This record gives sequence, C-alpha cells and structure tokens, in this order.
Amino acid sequence: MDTEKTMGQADMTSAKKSSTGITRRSLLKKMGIAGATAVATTAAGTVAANVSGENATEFGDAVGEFFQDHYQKMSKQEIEEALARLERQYKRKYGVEVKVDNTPPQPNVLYGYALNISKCKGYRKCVDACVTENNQSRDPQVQFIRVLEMNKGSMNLEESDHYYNPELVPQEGKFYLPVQCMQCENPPCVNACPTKATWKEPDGIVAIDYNWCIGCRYCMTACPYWARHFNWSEPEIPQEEINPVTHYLGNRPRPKGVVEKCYFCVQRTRKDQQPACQEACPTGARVFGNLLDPKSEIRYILENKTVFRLKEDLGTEPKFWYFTD
Amino acid sequence: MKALLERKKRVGLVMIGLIFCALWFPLFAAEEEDEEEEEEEISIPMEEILSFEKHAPAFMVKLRKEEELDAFPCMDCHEDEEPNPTERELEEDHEDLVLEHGGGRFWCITCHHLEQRDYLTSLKNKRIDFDQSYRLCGQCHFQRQKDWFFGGHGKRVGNWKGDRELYLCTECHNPHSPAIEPIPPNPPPKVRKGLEYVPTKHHKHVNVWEKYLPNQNKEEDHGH
Amino acid sequence: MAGLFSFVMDFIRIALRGDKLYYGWMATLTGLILVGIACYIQQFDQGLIVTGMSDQVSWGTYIANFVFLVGAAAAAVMLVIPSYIFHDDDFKHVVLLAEGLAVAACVMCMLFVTVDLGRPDRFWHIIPLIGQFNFPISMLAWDVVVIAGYLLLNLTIPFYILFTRYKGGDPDMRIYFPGVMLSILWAISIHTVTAFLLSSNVARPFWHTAILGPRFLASAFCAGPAFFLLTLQVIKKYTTFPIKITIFRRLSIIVTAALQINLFLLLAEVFTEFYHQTQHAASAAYLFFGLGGKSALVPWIWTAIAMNVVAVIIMTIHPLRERIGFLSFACVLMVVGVWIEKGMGLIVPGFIPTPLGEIFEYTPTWIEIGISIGIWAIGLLIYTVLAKAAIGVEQGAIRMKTN
Repeated sequence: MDTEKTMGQADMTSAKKSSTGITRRSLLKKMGIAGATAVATTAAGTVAANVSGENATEFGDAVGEFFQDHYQKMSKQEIEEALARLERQYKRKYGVEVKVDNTPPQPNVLYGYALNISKCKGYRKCVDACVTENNQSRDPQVQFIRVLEMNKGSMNLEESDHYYNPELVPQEGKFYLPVQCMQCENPPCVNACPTKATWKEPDGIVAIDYNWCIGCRYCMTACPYWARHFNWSEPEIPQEEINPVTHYLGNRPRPKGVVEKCYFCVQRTRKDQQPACQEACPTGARVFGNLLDPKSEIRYILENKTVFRLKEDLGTEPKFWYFTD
Repeated sequence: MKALLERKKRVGLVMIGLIFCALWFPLFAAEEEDEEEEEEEISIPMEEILSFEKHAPAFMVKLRKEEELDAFPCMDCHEDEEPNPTERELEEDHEDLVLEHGGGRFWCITCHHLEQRDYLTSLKNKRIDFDQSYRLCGQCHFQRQKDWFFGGHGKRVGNWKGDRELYLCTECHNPHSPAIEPIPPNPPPKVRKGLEYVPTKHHKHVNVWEKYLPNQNKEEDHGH
Repeated sequence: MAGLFSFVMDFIRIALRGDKLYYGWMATLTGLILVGIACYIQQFDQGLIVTGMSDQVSWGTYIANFVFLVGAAAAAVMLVIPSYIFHDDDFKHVVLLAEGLAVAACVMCMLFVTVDLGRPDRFWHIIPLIGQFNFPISMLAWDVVVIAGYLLLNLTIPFYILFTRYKGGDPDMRIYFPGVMLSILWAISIHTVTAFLLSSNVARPFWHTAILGPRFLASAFCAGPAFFLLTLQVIKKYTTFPIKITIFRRLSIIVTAALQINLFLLLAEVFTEFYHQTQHAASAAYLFFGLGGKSALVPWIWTAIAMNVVAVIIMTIHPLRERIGFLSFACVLMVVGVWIEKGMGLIVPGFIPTPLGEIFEYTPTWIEIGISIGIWAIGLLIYTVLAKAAIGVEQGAIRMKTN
C-alpha cells in the first residue's frame, strides 16, 4: 500500500482542516483510493512514496498534482510544495531549471495599458516577443496578441485582416489594431468559469490557475475580445527557447487541455519591469503603468488624450485603452 | 553654482559626467569656474526651458553621444577647421548624409553649433548638449515634446516604476531624415495545427464618399 | 427497503433477456459504444486537437448535441403534466417510459459535456464542497446543478413507483406528488438554464437575445415528444405493451403546437436580425447565407427549415396527422430538423465570426463523430434497458415473490 502511504504523507504536510473538521484531502483520498489511484497502486508497488523533497518521483508528483488545491485556497506551505513540484516537472519535461515564483501583487497598484494606434505600424514585434517571454506553445501555435489590419475610416472588425502579410507595413489605407487581454474590471470570463479557475487579482490582472482549469472553454465563449486561447494538445517549446524566469499565474509552461491568455507579463510587471510587448515595440506605441499613480504615464494619457476602449458598450470596463496622437 | 546644481538635479543623468569631472579634477576648479560663467551665456537659460520639462515627472535619458555616436567628440576632426556656414555638397565623412528633415529649409548649422561642434544649437544660437537633443526638437515639435516629457510619446525603458529612463528622440528618429520607413512585418499567425487556413473573401471596403464618385469601378470581391 | 436486492436483480435479468432482434439491437449499440470509447481514448491521449474545434470555434459537435439533448430531457415534462396533475390514465401508462427517456438524455448530456473537457481528470474540481464551485455566478455551474438534479428526480420518482408496484402495492400519491411538481418546474429550468448559458454571453450577439430561452423550450417541446412518439411506435410494434391511440393523438397535438410556436419564434428572430442588418447579424448572415465566401452551414440550416415546414404542414392538417405513417414521417423530420437547428445551427454560428471579426469555419472530425455516436448509443442502451424493465414491471412480468 505504498500509495496509501503517499497519501498519508501528503495529508500530514498539507492537510487543511475545514470548519466541519473533515479534511478535504482525506475525503479526496478516500475517493482517490477507491477510484483512479487504486488502479495505480499495483503499478506503484516499488515507487518511493516521497511526495515532497529532493527525491520526489514522477509518480509522486503526478499524485501531488492531481490532489493540488485551488491556488487561492492553498496554504503558504502547500503553494511552496506546488512551486517546487512544478519546477521538478519542468526539469523532467524540458531539461531546464525553471524557476516558478509567486510574487504577490504590489500594494496600491492597478495595472493599465494604453496603445497609440497612430503609432502602431503592424510590425507584429510585440506578438513574437510575447511568445518568447511567455513560454507559449510554438507548435501548435499560441499567441496572446492579435494585430488586426483595419481599413482607415472604419472600425468594422469584420473587415479586418488577421493574416496580413505584405512585403512592407504599414500599408497604405490601413491602420493596425493590436488586441490582447484587456484585464477587464468586469470580466465576463471570470463570471463564466464554473470552477473559479480564473479570477481578478488585486492589481487588476485576470489570472488563471492552469492547475485548476478543467478546460471547458466557457470563458473563451464569454470573452468579447477573443483573448483566451486553448492548448488543444501538449504545448511544444524548444528546450533552448524556454524562459526559465516564471510566475505561477503567468508564464510557466502550460499543460495540455487548459485555457491561457495574456496576464500583463505578471512575472515582470510585479518586479517593476515593463511587459515584454512594451519592451519590444519599436514605435513606442505601448504605454503601461499604474492607474493609481496620478503621475504615471498611463494617467497622463487617459487625462490628456482622446481615448477609446474596444466594445465598451458591453460593460466590461477594459483596463486597456487605445489612443491617437 | 547653485543654479547649475539645481539644473543638474532636474536633468538627472545627463550631467552626471560633468559632476564626475568636477569631483575628480579639483585642480582645474578655478579654471572651470570661468567656463561655467561662459556656459551660462552660451547655453539655454532656465527661463527658456519650457515649463513642461519643469513639471514633468522626474526622468533621465538613455545617453547616446558617447555610447552611440561613432564620431563623437566632433571637435576631434573639426577643431582645426575654419567653420564654414555656407550650404554646399558635403564631403568626406558626411558624404552619405541625406538631409530630408525640414524639406530643404535646413542646413547643418540649423541644429549643429557652428563653432562648438560638440554641441547642438538652439534657434537663439545657444548651445544644447547632444544628450539633451529633446530641447532642440521641442522648439518646433513642442506638442510631441510635451507628450514625451509626460509619457505620451517616445518610450520608457526597462521599468514602469522607479527611476524613469526615457529614450532620446534620436534613439528612434534619424534626425536628418526623421520619418520612419516601412519594414516587413513578422509572420502572420497560424491557424490551429491540423486545420487549414482558408482566406476570407472580404467585400472591398468602400468609403461612403466613394459611392458618390462618378464612374466608380465597382469591384465586388477581392481576396487577400 | 426489503426486496430492493431482488428488485435490482429482476430488473437486470429482464433487461438481459430478449429475442434475437433485441440481442441484435443491444449488440449493435454495444459495438457503437466500443467505437466511441476507442475514439475517446485517442482524444484523451492527444488532446482535443483530434477534433475540428479551434480557438475560433471553441465549441462544436459535443456542445451542440448537449444542447439538443437537454431539450429532449426537458420534454418528459410534457407527459408528466397531464398524467400526474390531470390524472390522465392513458398518459400514466407511458409516463415512466418518458422519464426513462429523460434519464437517458441526462446521462448523454453529462457525457457530452465530459468529453468536451480539456482536463477530464480534473472533473472533481467542479463538484461542490470538494472542488470550487462558482455558484451562483457561473451559468455552467447552474447547468451542472439543474441537470444533475433533474437526473436524480427522474431516477427517484419512477423508482418509487416501480418499486412499489414490484412489491405489489399502489404508489402513494402524497409521497410522489411533491416530487412530480418539483420535476415539472425543474424540467423547464434545465432548458431555460441551458438557454441562459448561451444567451448570457455578451460576446456572442447571435445568442445574446431574450428569445433564446423561449425558442429552446418550444423546440424542446416539439422534438422531445416527437422522438418519444417514435420510440412508442417501436415499443408498440415489438412488445405487447398496450399503447392507446389517444396517446398518439394527444402527443401529436402537443408537438404540433410546440412546432408552430417554434417556427413563429424563428420568424421573429430572423425578422429582427435582418430588417435592419447590424453588425450583430453577421452570425445569422453566415448561418443562412454564408459570409466571406464561407457557407458550410447554409445547406444544413435550409434543410432543417424545410424539414420543419413540411412537418408543420403535415401536423397542422388533421387528416394527415391522424395517419400514423404521416405522423411518423413528420416526427422524423422534426427530430432531425430541430437537431440541426438547435444543435450545430445554434452553437457553431455563435462563434462565426469571432469577436474580432475573423470568419473561420468548423467541420467535425471522424473522431468527434465517433465519440458522439458512442454517446448516443449509450443513451439508447440506457433507454432500452429502462423501458424494457419498466414495461416488465408495469405489465406484472416481474413481481416480488411473496413468501
């Protein structure tokens, strides 16, 4: 009964008493042992039962991952175990030492983004910088930013071209409208999620717990900005292109079958850095900052420029503005 | 001296080099004092600096003149030459230079200081440091300059919080031909693996006024 | 609960016994289920990449079938109302069969949602108390509650009635009547909630309409009983279970009214979309006429409309409806027509164009079709077993042996 022992240790290290005195984990343990893990028990006869620590096995980590709680419900210690487990799993999968942290939101910070559409020339530099920074799957391809080539004189998205590929940009008669997650203040995706796997962080970032998402894709249905993308198969990232500096709610490599989206480079922005797309933009069209700081660049733009938000009529309160010179 | 220190504070890094000089070469202190007086006269006085700069959040710039300009200091070559303000065919190292800025209304010395080649010049013939070139540009492009001070134009480097470092105008714009040329875009997105991309046949976008033009050649559909 | 064990055993025994035709039918279903399982194993292993779904059209065949089957499940209420409330004895004979159909449909619904999940291994995250259940905010959470609850109701009420009969007693109305009342409200709620699941999406103008709930109920109340009518004819043909002609007549009246209302609501929808065509009508334009040179659903939706129109003509003309051949034909047309209209014809255009205006089409893969057929086979198998056993109890073929 090595599995039993495995579970027992997991209990001792990370059990959390609920008010009724029943540990969720012990309940799960019973279910798990009766169900899926019972099948694995025989196979795991010789597997060392150490769930946490240096000698953790692939099987032990898989069990730990299966029973991992919702990010917001985990204790500090449980989160640390989860981070360490992820680092071991990435090491096994990609052969790279990936650091997964969970830098908390900064106090008195609410992130906002403004994009100057008279500056954007449609180079798509932001798109690829984003992919590299955020460990997005290369094949199948996942991209957080979609740049629309629009007809001048119109805001009709249905006449936009997502796949424009002329020799040179900008093209005459066109303007360019990059779209990514707007980190809505009133996000329809968060309301849609049946398992609370996505929520709004105190700094305004709409985060996803990739270890909690069940992959129902209802949030993708709910998003008016087509910001959410799904891992239709196991993501593939070349080993040498892995960005090893990651955040649990951000750019850590994602598993198969979960939804992901832009999170304003939480792994960078919570450490005062600019998001990768801002850094990559050669035209300075992108302005990122703290909406609560009256001296911030973003506040200057919102107070001094004529701005608009995409589909504001839907009441989503995006924290992503477009402006012109 | 006090006024100078004030200014140094405001422009941040720009003057750090000079401060270092002052610290490391106290021997020349007396001599420098004379230079400072002279400097007061030939550099832009504080009153002429637009109030935007004074009210903008503190910033420093990513320095360029030492780091990026290959031929700086200019006086290395120009020292022995008699300044020649007349428009002419440029030779030697400046042979390839194309001056499109201003559409023919400018000549080198519109922006470069005639005698002190290591400096730029203002309209009133006061000298401007290369690393303060925004003061030069702002003489005409004042709205852009205002935006630049406050973050609506240009680009903040590295962080969104803490020391505010900005790109100088010349980081992105070639001052002699400031227009940004078109470049090839990065590749378009792919559709999901295993599925096929089928181009959409958009109706040709027709602006309202085009419908009123006579003999409008009505193309209904075109792919792209 | 004396006799529970023997009841279950007798139930299973009668389900396993039958003539050659019965075995053939069950073997066919089992074969299809195995095909479905084989397809699902592939999907489980490789991910949903084996389907035709994409970021652009992120729901497809599975959710389309789910939505249709919620309607079928809700339709059982049409028989519950007259039989329990008005004590219509003719209906009472077949109501247990209808509830069996509801059970089968609920199971199919749950299976279709489950196979649509990217992480079925995390299914427990949605279970209240042990998971994180976003109730009452998420409409999907509501759907889980109402469908699970409806399944429970449709299992317990017939169980009580059948078990009492099995023991030779008469079911006490005071016990089951509150349950019946609840299940009537519940049936309306499951389809309303499923409609709200879609109509609550401000991102999808095609669904974001108040008429969606009424349209769902109307189509459910024609396709559901129509499907049930067809199964009754099969039962009538192959068993000795007495099904009176009055049941067919009354059911067909219900179906006719629902179908007429359904077509009227469709007309109202189409008028509003197209009279002054806004950008929000793009999905409807794609569905009915094609958009940007892409028109995969156009033949399907016009087929569905043609089927429903022919069906409504047959059903509205009394002499035609009275003839069993015409009635069956109309029922087939209705079931298929509504399946197209409320399945793929409703789900897929919601995603086309995308919220960013991209027109990207969806075609199901053979694996998706295989899994869907497998789930339908599971549903039919459940219905067959429940119907056969219920008929056995009703006819007194199985009774608890009294010592």
